[in-house]
Amino acid sequence: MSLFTSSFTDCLKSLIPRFRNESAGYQDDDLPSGTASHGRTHSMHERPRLARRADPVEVAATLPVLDSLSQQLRDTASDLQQSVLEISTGFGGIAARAKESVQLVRCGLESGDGVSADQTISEIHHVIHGLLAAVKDSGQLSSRLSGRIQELEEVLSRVDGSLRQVEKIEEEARIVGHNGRLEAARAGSHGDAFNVVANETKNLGVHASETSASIRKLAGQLDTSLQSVSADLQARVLVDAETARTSSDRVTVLLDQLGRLHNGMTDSLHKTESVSQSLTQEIGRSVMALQFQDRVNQRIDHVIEALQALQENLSPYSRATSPERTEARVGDWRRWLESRSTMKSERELIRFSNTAAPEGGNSDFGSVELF
Amino acid sequence: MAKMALVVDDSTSMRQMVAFTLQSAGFEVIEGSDGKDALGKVNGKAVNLVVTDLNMPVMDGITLIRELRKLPNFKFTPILMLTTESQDSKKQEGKTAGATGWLVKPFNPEQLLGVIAKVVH
Repeated sequence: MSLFTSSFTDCLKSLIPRFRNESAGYQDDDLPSGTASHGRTHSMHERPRLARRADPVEVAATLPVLDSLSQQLRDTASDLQQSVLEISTGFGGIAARAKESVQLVRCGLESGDGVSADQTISEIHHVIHGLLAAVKDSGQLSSRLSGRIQELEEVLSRVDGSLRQVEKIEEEARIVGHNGRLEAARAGSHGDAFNVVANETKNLGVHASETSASIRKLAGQLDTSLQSVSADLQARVLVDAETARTSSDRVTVLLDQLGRLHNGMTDSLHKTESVSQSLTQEIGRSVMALQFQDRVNQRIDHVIEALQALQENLSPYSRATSPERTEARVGDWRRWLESRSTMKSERELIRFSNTAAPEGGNSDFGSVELF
Repeated sequence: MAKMALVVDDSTSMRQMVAFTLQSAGFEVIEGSDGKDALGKVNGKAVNLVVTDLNMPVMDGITLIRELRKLPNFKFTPILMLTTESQDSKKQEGKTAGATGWLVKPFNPEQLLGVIAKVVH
């Protein structure tokens, strides 16, 4: 761009002093050289100097040069536009990736159906507490059952006392039977009926004794079973209580860990969002800066318009001059401009400004050559 | 359903920058390279926002606004002028034509979205 500007400035300076010279009577040697080289090394070609006196050939010869310069401007604007377009596309991509990153972290904190980790942890808490409450209820039920069994054992103990009373009655019945038979024997034939009663009383005592023994045996078995069930239940209650306590402690630790992990991820999400926001702001500033291209292109358009107006104004000179002489001077300008060009695309533009340029005008972009 | 925006500018890069900004805010964007091109692209469509440049070849921004305001779909559509032009006389011309707002380039994406949030409901 700066090279182009210097070429353009040189050309204008070449034109403007020419008319000044005519009125002021300056000599060629007094003309400003106008070679703002910006530190670049140029070839030995010298800028074509204007003739001592006003010469239409000189003016006509600058017309193709102005045309070249206009085309240079158009190409520059086009290159600039293309570059800014690519940078802008890059920024668009960066912004989209930043947005996706935040979305990915956010998805990491949510299940597929949109349930957040917060909700899941809270749900686990709820379920675990329900489970522990059920275990506790089960333990309490076992305790109550154990209490009932103890009550049954007490009932069995009272049954045992009642059996002892029955056995005492049996004993008395046997004694009554025995005494009855003795009294029946002493009474002789008058005591036969009394003897029958005595025998029946004795038999009743024997039957009662057998029944009592059977009941005691069954009560003993029942007592043994109840004691076993009670012992099992109490052991179960102790194990359940211990399991519930350790499970509760472990689940609490795990849920705390899960909570900390979740907090860490939430924190990361907030940081990612913050970074993304900063990135968006920086991209915004860059996008704002990139719009210099729009302003530059507008100015270039205005300069091209002015150059075209100059060309139109100067075009009568080309009709009033000898084509051969004009072409020779155009050649001088072209050689000079070409010698100042540093890029292949510039040189091709100058060389082929009035014919079609070969394909791949910017083919030297990004090329590498090792020596 | 995504809101629809029409972006009109003869500069491809400007169009793209405005389009990216609007897309990041959830808009679907239709692009036009000048007023006439834009009119052809939005014919019969429901558009929620128009952002247009002023100086364009074929049909400029002011003429575009006048033409859009004649269409029933665009009677109340917010139309923002985004241009390097900042002359009061031009702004007045835009306002008379039916522009909702006037932003001078270069635009800041956040600022543009802030303005859009105020005018698009």
